[in-house]
Amino acid sequence: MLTVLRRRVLFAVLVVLLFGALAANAQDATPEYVDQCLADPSAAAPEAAAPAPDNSDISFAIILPNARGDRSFIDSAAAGAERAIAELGVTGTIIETNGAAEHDAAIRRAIQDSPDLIITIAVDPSTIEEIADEFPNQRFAAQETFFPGDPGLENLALFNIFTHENSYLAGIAAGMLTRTGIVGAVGGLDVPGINLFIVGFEEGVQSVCADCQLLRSYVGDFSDPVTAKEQALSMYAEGADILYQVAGRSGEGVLDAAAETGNLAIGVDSNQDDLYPGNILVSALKRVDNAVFSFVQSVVDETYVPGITNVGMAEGFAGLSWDLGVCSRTFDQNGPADLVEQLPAVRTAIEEARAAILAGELVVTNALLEPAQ
Amino acid sequence: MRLLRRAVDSLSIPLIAIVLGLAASGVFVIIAGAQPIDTYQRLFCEGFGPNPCATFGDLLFTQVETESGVLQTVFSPTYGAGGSRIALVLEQATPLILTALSAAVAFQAGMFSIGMDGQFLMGAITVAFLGYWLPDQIYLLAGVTDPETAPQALLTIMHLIIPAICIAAAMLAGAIYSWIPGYIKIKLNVNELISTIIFNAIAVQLVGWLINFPLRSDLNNIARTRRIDDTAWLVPFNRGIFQDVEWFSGARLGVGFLIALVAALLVWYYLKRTTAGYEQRMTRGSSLFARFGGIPTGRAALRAMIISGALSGLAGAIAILGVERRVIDGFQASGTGFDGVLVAILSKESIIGILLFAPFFAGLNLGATNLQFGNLPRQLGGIIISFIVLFSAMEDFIRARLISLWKRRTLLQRTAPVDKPDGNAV
Repeated sequence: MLTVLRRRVLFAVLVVLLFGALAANAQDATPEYVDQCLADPSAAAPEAAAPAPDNSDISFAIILPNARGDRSFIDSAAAGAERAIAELGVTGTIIETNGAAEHDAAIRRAIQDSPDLIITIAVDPSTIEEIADEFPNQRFAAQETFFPGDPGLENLALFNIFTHENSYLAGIAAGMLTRTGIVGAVGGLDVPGINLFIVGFEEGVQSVCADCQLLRSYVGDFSDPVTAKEQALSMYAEGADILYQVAGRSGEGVLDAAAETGNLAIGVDSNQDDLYPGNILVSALKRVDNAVFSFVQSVVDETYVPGITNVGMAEGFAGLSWDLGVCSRTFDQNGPADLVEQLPAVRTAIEEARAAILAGELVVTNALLEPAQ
Repeated sequence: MRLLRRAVDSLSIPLIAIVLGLAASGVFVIIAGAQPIDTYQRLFCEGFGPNPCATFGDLLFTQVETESGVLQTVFSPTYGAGGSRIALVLEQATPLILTALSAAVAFQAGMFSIGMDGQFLMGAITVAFLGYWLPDQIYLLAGVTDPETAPQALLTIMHLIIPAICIAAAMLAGAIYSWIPGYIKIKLNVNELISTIIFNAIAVQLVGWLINFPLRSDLNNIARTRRIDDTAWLVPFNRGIFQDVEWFSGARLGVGFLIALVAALLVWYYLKRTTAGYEQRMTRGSSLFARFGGIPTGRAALRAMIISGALSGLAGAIAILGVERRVIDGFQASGTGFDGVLVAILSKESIIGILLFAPFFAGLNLGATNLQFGNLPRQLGGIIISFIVLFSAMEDFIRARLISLWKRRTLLQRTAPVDKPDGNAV
């Protein structure tokens, strides 16, 4: 009896002490930064979807450039399509192809079913231009295809997702957390679409760490993790401790190299934080899933607009895995303690930069529009 | 009668192989949680059927709704609303036919060359370059600044000669690329299987580099060469003479297919009806005996390699001039040449066999990719194809089994009274 009572008292005391400590801690912490994700648990999980309306007479087909499982933009696109099927109640067909040689045949096959919309992901512009011209009555959406000029087709829509701004934010994180003062980027190919990420990232690094040394390498392929890993290993050997990968499936090699050498990497496109917990600082998201979903929605709402629409961070098509709505906190739980300690300061700096970018006070170089960079 | 028997003989075994392949892959289909029969129907419908197509029966005859709403039965292969899949299959079979012929010619000289992929790529990259460079030079010479304003007569002449020059150049490129392994085989006895494998790898890398650097046309995310000039284009039927025939719409089937058929006829004539063809077949049959009989075996084998290379180069030329019009990064990894080798082996290097098997293979591939339109996983298609190919390759085994089964049965029948001694026997 007595022991039970004593235990209860002890417990009560402990609880009081704990609360006190927490309260004291809260007062000590930097007053500007409140982790929205932790403060509001509902922010992490997207709101429960309403029961899907019945739009089964509206159909779409999505052509993926390769099989799913790149844990990058292909998976992201497929996720968007699945969300559209689930939430909008439309009929959707997801087609995986096996490389560029099959794209044309798969698109032509999809046309035979005459769906309301055909979405292609990262299919070459020449293929799309040809087909869209050949079948003027079929509506197309060509995401992840970069047209050198406006194709000017009445049946083709796409989003140009500008990812220089969220790459800049990732660069701030890298610049503030690097111990060696050397950070690098591994790109898939030396093309404007990839340099868009890298230039933004490098500007972000330099904004917080002016004398940081920047490394850059290109794999030459988006599906060659082995070469990417070798390049990453040699960059880590040169002293880099944070690498930003912008190389599709090749990028997994970079992440792997980070885990192997105990260094850090930054993921891209999808939330890759959980692939190697503690070794992936953050992921710069390119919301291809949102783009796919918007296309399908535009057909359902009959607001389909042909042509190129430029979107970016402001429209919610680009961001970080730390952002509200995704709220990845894997690094907080698994990262090295000395870096985790600095995260609140890093996030404060990122939020400041984000606000400045959205307000137009801070302009990040857009390597797509200024290829001379 | 003899011909008929031969046809039945050569067709029945592949059919048995297909049925066996389907049956064996059924295990995987069931594991994947799909209905085997439905899956097979989907596979063949997507590959060869009309649109719409649901059952095996639809492959031959299908019911379609006419404009007045009456159901009408049509013969499926000629029914082409929205574009026939047969046209698509033939488009994709064209390079297969040519590379398979190429393999057959080499094999029938006793050269186990599998360099078709490399030769195909060399031909393709040659025309991809000449297809825009040559017209440019002519426009320059003729003082035409904008091709749109060029005199019609000039364009017509160019349209007649440039594709011919391009094709000839591609055949030359393929021939040279095949001659080298042949030459080092005959002079230095370097195994042609190994050298052609290496040559394929070199071609893939070389073409990849050419597309990405010297021949790269713009800053497109995926590297590509410039599109060939319209005068070099072998206009496909759906954009040209059969513009209004719906059967052709949707497929870039064109003159290239007819060229492939002519090539098949010429190869048959060369192998079976000319001295040179006889020489190379003798070389394969027994090299020593052929040499003893006065046949220059080395020259016969080299000639076969050159013809083989030219055919693969032609395949590359048609793929670019008639279909792709430019080389996009990724094209070099499509493996068309390897598929051609496979077709040649499975059809036992017979020309008729190649002409039948190449479209069949192309259709299966198409069906496998498009299984997904029936919400079935694409890997399932790959498994089914692999099993069909496997059982087709076991043709000799199946034939031997069938014959021994048949023999045993007749033997049993004939010897039955002896085998079963009973009370009646005295």
